[in-house]
Amino acid sequence: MPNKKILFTEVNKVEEDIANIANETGLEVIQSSNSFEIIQWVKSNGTAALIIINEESSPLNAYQTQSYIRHELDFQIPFLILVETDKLATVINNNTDPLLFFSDSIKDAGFIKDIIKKTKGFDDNDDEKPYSLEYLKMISEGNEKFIFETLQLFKSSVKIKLDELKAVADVGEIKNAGEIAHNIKPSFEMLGSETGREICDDLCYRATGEEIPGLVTRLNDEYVKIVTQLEIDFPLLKEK
Amino acid sequence: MKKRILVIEDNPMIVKSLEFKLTKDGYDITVALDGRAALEIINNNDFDLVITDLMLPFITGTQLIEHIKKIKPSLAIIVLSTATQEDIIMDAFNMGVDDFVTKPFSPNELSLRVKRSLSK
Repeated sequence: MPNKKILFTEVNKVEEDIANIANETGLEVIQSSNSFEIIQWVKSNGTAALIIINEESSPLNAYQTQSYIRHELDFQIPFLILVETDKLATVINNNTDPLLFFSDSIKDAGFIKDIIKKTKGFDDNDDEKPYSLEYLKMISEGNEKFIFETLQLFKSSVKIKLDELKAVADVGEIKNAGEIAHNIKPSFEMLGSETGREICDDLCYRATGEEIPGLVTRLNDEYVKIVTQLEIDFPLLKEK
Repeated sequence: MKKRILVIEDNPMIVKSLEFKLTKDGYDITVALDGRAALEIINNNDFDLVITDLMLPFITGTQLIEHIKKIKPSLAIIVLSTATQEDIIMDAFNMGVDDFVTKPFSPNELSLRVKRSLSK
């Protein structure tokens, strides 16, 4: 789940603290070797709970990285910027631009969880998301380009089929409705939508002519719910 | 020389996943999105394996399998199915297909079944 990850770069100085952070927060810590990799990860995977980055990160420093992710990619991910101890700035935290500074050696990882909660980066409702990327990650071994392109396909191809489904449902064509539902059922399954799968099965095997319009409406509602959440987690999907 | 696989499937997400996985496994992949296109491709090209859905636009999967068995009896065939299509799967096996994979497929299972079908 995207919001259950912390992105961490320039690990050398604080490598020994990563295990602590993971243990204390219960979140997965994704390590990257530079700020470019952080940006690429966000582009492909969507939002994260927190990004921990050294002030002097490269090729983009922490402020440039934050600006790009916030303004170009439109992800409001909180940043924890690590600075040299003797340059330690006052912790700044406000609702519109949570920007935190801390010394470059995180000895007590316990506060990370509180930071995340405070900056609203920790979404306790992740388990209620209408989709899952687990299957796509398994198929592609985590290939970010593949995952994003498949999400684009879900958005475009299922919409077309749902329009066809509505058309045949309006005239009560049970057989055709079942065939269309059979076609798009794997699409919902690939995104972990049990609701989508069950409705498609009802349309394929159990629905009477009278039940079809209601089922089609429910399937469309499920599609809209999934796409709405996907576009929140992957804003670039809105452009396609 | 790479083994050549024809994928016949009209769900674009399944197609993309199959292409990704099978290309990674080292095969040459051609895709047909419906039964009519598949017939034309099969009539004019050689393949080592066909992976086909059983419910296709224009021509059903079983009609397609029947045609393949007539013109290219030694061509290996794997059917893609949903778990609830037992009767159709049995019909396909009675027609001589080599194996089946349920959708959405497990990547390791797909690899094994493809490898096995190609080695027969």
